[in-house]
Amino acid sequence: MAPSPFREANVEIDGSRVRYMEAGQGTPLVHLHGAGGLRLTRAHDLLARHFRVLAFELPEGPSPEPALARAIATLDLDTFNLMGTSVAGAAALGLALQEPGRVRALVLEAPTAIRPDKRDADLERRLSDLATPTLVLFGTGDDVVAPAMGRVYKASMSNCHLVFVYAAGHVISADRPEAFTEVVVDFLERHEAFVISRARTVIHP
Amino acid sequence: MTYDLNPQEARERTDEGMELILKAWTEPQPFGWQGRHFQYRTVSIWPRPLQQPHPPTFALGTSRESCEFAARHHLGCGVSYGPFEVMAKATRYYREQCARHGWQPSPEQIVYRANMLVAETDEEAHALLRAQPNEAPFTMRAGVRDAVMTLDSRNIAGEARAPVVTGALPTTFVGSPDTVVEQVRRCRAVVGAGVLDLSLHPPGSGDLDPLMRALELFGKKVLPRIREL
Repeated sequence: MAPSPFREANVEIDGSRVRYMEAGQGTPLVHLHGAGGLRLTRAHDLLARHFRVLAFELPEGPSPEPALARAIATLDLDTFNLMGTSVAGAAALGLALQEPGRVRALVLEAPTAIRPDKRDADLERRLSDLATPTLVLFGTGDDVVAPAMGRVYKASMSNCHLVFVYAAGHVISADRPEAFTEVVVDFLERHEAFVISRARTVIHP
Repeated sequence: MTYDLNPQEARERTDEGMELILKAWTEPQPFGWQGRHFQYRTVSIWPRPLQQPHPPTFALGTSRESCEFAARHHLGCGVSYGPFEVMAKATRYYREQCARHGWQPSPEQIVYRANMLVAETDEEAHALLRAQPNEAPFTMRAGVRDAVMTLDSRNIAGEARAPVVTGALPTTFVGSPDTVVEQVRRCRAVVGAGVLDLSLHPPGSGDLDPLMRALELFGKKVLPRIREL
C-alpha cells in the first residue's frame, strides 16, 4: 500500500496549538473526528485525491467551534467543505451555523447530535435556518445511533440529503471507505445535482 | 443460472436487495443507498405501502443463513418440499433465532410449500404417485448438473444435504381426503406451518383432468376441515 500522503502540522490559537493532518490539493475539506480521536483512515487518503484535506484534532472543551473557526481563519481558508464524524457532527453543525457563508457544503457521518433518547428541539429549530447543502450518512448496521435519526436532519434542513451505506457500522469511513468516499466526493462536487447519475452502464461498446 | 446471477454472490446480493426493499418500504422520505451490489442516489416509493410497517414478507429457504436473516428482520420464513421432520429442523432453528432477537413468529409466518396428490382413496392417490416419472420435468446437461452440485452447498438449518438436482421433488401429502387432512394436521404440529402453498398438479404433467378432480376434492373435502387447525 502507498504511504499516507498526510503530513502533520499545527496552528497557534491564543498560545495553544491545534494539531491537524493535511494532504491533497484543491478545495479545502475540513474534517472533525469522532470520539476515538484524530485517526487517519483509508477514506482520508481517498478524499485527498480530490480535495485539500485538513483533519483537525478537536480542541478540548464542550464548544470547540470558536477555536476551530479561528484556526481555519488563521490558515486563510476562505471557503471550505466541512465534514463531521459522529460526536463531531454537533461541532460541524455549530460551525456551519456560525459561518454559513464560508461552509460550501456539509457532510455529517453518523452524527450523534440528535438521538432517539436525546432530542434537541433548539438545535432542530436552528437547523431549519441552515441552507448549506448537507449530506447525512448512516451505516445500516450502526449500533451507536439509530440510522432512523437521519430522517430528522432531512426533515429539519431545507437542503439535506440522506444516504444509507449498506453493511457499515457507526464509523462508515473505516468500514466501507470506497463506498463512503465515492458518494462524499460526488456530493461535494455536485451538491444536489449528485442525484443525477453519471455512472456509465454500457457493458460492451 | 437465472438472470445470469453468479451463484456465489447470490446470497449476499439477495440479502442486500431485501434490506434495500425493506428500507424503501419503511423510510418516509427519499434516501440514497450506497450498497455493495446496488447503488442509488434517490430511492422513493410512491404510493407508500398500505400495511405498516410493511406488507407480509418472507425469507425463503431452509438454510441457517436464511433463517437468521428472517429472524433479524422480523420476517416470515418459507420452507419447501422436504419431509416434515427435515423441514422442522429449519423452522425450529428459525424460531430459536427469532427468540434470540426478542420476538416470536406466529404460525402464519411459517409457510410450507409442497406437492399434494389427493384422490378419492389412498390406493388411487398412491397409484397416481407411482405413475409419476421420478425425474425433474426438465433435463439438465451433465456438465451443468455437476457445476450446480458443486456450487450448491445446501443445508437444512446448518445440516449439509445434497440438493435435488435431477430427481422429482418429493410429494409429502398423498392419499384420500381423510389421510391428507391427518397429514396436514401433522405438518402443522411438526413443521409449525400456518400457511400451505400447494401444488395439486402432478409435476411435469400436462393432463388437466387429474388436476381438476384434485381441486374439487381439495375444495370440498379437505379445505373445510383444515381451516380450524
